[in-house]
Amino acid sequence: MLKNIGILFGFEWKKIMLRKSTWITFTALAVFLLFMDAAAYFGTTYRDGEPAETHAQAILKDKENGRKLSGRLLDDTLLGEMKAEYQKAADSGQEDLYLHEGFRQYKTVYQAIRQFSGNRDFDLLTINEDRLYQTRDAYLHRLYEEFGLTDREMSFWQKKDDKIEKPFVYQYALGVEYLVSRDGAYFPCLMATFFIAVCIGILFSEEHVRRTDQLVLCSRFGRKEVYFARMAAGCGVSVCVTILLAAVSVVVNFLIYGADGFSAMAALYIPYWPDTVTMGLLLLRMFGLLLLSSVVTAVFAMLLSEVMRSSIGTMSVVIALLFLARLIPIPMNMRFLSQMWNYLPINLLKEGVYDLRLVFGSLTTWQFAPILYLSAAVVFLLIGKRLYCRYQVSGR
Amino acid sequence: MELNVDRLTKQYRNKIAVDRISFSFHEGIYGLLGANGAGKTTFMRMLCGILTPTHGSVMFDGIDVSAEEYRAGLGYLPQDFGYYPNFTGWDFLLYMAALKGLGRRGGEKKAKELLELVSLGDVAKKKIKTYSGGMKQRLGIAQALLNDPKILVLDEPTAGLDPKERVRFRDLIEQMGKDSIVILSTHIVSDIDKIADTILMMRDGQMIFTGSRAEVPEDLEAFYLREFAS
Repeated sequence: MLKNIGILFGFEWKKIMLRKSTWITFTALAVFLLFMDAAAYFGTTYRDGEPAETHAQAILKDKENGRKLSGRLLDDTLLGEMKAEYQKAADSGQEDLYLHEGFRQYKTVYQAIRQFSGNRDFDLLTINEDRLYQTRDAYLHRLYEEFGLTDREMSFWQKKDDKIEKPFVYQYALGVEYLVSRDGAYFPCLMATFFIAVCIGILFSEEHVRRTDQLVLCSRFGRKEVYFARMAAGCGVSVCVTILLAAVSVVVNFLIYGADGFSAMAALYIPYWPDTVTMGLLLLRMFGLLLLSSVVTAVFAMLLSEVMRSSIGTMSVVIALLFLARLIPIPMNMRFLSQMWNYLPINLLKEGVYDLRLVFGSLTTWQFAPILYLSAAVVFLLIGKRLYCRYQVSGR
Repeated sequence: MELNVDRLTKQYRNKIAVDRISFSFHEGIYGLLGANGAGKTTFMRMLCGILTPTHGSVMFDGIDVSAEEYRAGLGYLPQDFGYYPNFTGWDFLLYMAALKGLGRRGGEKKAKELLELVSLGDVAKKKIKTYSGGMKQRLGIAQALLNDPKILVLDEPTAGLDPKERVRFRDLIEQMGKDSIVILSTHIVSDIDKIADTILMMRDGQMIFTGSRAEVPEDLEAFYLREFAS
């Protein structure tokens, strides 16, 4: 059976690849993504109406400064140096403190530690090592309340947080940070979903519309084998496209911000996620989830395609769901609903992955999402198979 | 070799498309005649297992129509046959061969042979969307023959074929009828006049006449018209 599925898989793959729409859609989405990711690189900063530096120059300078500070402990010594330069910048009377060359050296560190407070009420001049980590603790506890965590969940995260070594070691990791916490996986997910809606959601409906279904269904392997082969081809193409789109994001971000910081501690850049993991591991997990999300979205789109037997209908439903997922916020106090809503791929890869609420009392989003996506994909696959095999060619 | 149809019925909400048809098919060519809406296509779809009957059964040598084994010996050319416009004729036949379980080598050999047989050898590597109606029809005939079917169901197979192609098609079907059950539906009487061993006539979902060619007393066209007028 596997051999037959393998042979049929090749033909199903070919059917997708021979369509012009596949290439046009992919190219358009990849170019769009490229411009979105690279947009930060273009532009100029003006001072007093005069061009002062281009964004490219600024990024380069910050990268160099950040790299120089990599490996240093975020302790009183470093904070003291920063404070001194901050004070000088403030005394110079300049509106933009980063214009002061001395303080500019610490810009990337300052931006990282400002997040420890959730970007509010952060006064560098009053900060020392103890207060910095206290600020972070307070921020975490604020989040525990916002998420409505139970005592058990709070204790779970507290234990994790206790394992993080303090003081933190600073490492420049802006390229990786953009990918794991600033839409680096969200945009490829968004683009991949569009691709799936347009190019994969038509695989089954097209057979009915073209009336090739009757030839296929009455052939020996036209039921089970071709169904699985088509599903596998749809998922395979979706995964490949997602990898390529993710590669666009990774390459552009690494070219702009550098590929440093894989070993940097995630807690430094993602203070709202108390875990001992490194940024590199987080990046791998994020892209693993991205691929799984593309599989489950593809299977869902193909199931819809078999149910609706209309390419436009399938495309509309997938895109409508995408927008609804982003536009409808479910309040945190409706815990079950909001948590499930958060697991929709497009929400999860936006910021939902850092949801601190556990599932079954011990599973984090990183652990539960793969289980959920794989289970959902299997359920969709089996429902689709039942519908496909029971399809009746009639009334034409 | 016996294809047994037993009280085959297809009922839609307020219409009986096929009404309790029972018949046994053996090797030979069966010409199924009937006006539009007589139920021919519905009957054929049920023979091919792509439409489930409301009542009754279809068995081939004891194998139910829903079994993979049944489909393995089936060749079908639907009336409104679809194709993949971006596939070449060659790709299409290889895909259909894979669906019929011929394997890569077996599929290539058979596809080559059939493309020559239906005179599409020289355009085999061209995309189907560039084919004329007749060429597409010939490609459809070729795909139906890929697995040397024991049951060959052809729904209006000569539509779009020019007179020369029709003659060649008839010769081909005559050959097939020696070892297989060939069921050929049409409303063009001349298509089956010379080659059908048995004539079947359908009207309003019922089989109104079944008999060997020899049993048809006069010229088939006149007999057909008389049967439908009555």
